[in-house]
Amino acid sequence: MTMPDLATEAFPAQPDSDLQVTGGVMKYLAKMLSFIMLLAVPLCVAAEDPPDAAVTLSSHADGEHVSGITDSSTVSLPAVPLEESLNSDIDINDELLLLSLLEEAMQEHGITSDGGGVLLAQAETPRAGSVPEDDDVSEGDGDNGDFENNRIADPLYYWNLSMYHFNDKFYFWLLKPAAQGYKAIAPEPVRIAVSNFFQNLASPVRFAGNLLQLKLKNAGEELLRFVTNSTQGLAGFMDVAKSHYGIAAHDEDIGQALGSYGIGHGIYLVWPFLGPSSLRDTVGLVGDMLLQPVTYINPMETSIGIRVYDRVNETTFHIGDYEAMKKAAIDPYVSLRNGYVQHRKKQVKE
Amino acid sequence: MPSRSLEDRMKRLLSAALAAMVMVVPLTAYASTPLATVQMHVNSVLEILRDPSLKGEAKKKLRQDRIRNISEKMFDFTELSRRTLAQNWKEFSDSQKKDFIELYKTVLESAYIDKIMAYTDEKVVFQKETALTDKTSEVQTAVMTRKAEIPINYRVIRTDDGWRVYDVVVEGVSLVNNYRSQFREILMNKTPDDLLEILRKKAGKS
Repeated sequence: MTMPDLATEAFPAQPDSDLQVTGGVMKYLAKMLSFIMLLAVPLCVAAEDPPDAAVTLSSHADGEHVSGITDSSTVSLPAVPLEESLNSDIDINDELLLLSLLEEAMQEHGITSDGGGVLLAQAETPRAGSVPEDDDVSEGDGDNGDFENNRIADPLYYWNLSMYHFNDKFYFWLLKPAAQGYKAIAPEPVRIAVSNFFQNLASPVRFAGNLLQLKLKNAGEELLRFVTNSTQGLAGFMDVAKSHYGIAAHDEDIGQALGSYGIGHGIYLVWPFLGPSSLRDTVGLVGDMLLQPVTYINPMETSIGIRVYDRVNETTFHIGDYEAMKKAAIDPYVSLRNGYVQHRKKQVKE
Repeated sequence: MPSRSLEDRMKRLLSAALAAMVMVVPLTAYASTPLATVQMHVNSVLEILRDPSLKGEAKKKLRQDRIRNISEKMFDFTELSRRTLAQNWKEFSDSQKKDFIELYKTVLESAYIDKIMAYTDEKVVFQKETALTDKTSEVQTAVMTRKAEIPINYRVIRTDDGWRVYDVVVEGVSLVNNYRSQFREILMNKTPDDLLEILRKKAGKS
């Protein structure tokens, strides 16, 4: 196991902080493993749901449809009209195969799917209240189907809108000035190295994200990247795996894995400081956090401080992006919401 | 000797092939494929941005005008507008459609011109084209920054005067789709004239 390396690599970077390394490592490992298990269980339930899958599969006969974009809401939603299903993921055959593979593997290891149903049901409930998708769209070809799938229920509009305004102020009053100040003193190579370091620390997230989607080759590459970059890459400050061995990161997270199972966003949610998210991706985000060693650093102030530094460092590469979006938008709130859904859909599809 | 004649035949074939290539090259260079068309336009924008004689604040207006000229040739703003309004398009009268196309174009150009002019040393890679329907295609490109690779896809449609861009997809976010969601929300409780007024304000500001 290479995981203990991760923690020991990560912690010495903060020599002054009051760390509880040994306990932390074990706690971290245990949590990470149990978490992966917890998320894997609903897979079995999904695999045991043939009627819905049959509906989707039969509609795939029409190969003419060009979009091929993952419609996260079709897999277990029989009420969706045929035209909607046409847009659904072309890989569904593979996915079913993989699901049954995993199910087999889990049975082999004596893992039952009891209790997973509850998890899945919880994730599904909000979809009942999502926007109806029966609009008569006659103009254009191909991309209107995508558009209908890009809509997201926003029942917490007023909360979300005020959080949007809060984040807007947070960006302009705190984050941006901090990033600008930091950018002025830290040259780009330093900032890229810091970014690499944090990217490397987030390896478990990408590893788990790939594994949960049974992208075994990618998961293996993530592991390889982590080992290589943590050692040859000087504790992750250099991405030698990419620059010397040509192994690029596979950007996956728990939310994307959930999306790939056919779980929809549920509802749109904007969190203070974190920005746009959804019910599904919030669950994913909690999972991502649990997989990151930074979360387990004591005291919490240090942990948060490290995250803030990561955020400020990352922001230096994106100053102007948010401003450009706002400038271009007629309604920035709606633009951001739609952009979030479209972007996540692309990530899930990949 | 048979070997000699074979050699001769090869030579003739080769020269014929060469001649054919020479004739074909200028034709293909005349932007026949979606990828070549997009590449031509993007490269001419990059040329303007890199042109030393156009550098500096004083020449900013000139650069903007040149880029606007290219955008006129590159985009099909009518198609772009039609697709953005989607089912609402038929709610607009002919004169409202005309106004909408003009205003939307102004809003888009003024919104993105600064972003475009900020590009300098980044390399643009033209990857491939994929047919979407029999008259539309998607051209995949990527802007390589020192830290990351930003995928930018252009959706083009075949028109009487070549391929024209009707949508730009940046990191999975379609421009047409994004604006459609915004206009749709506005048109749910406002009239087309109200929307035109909002656009007029937006276009006038910048």
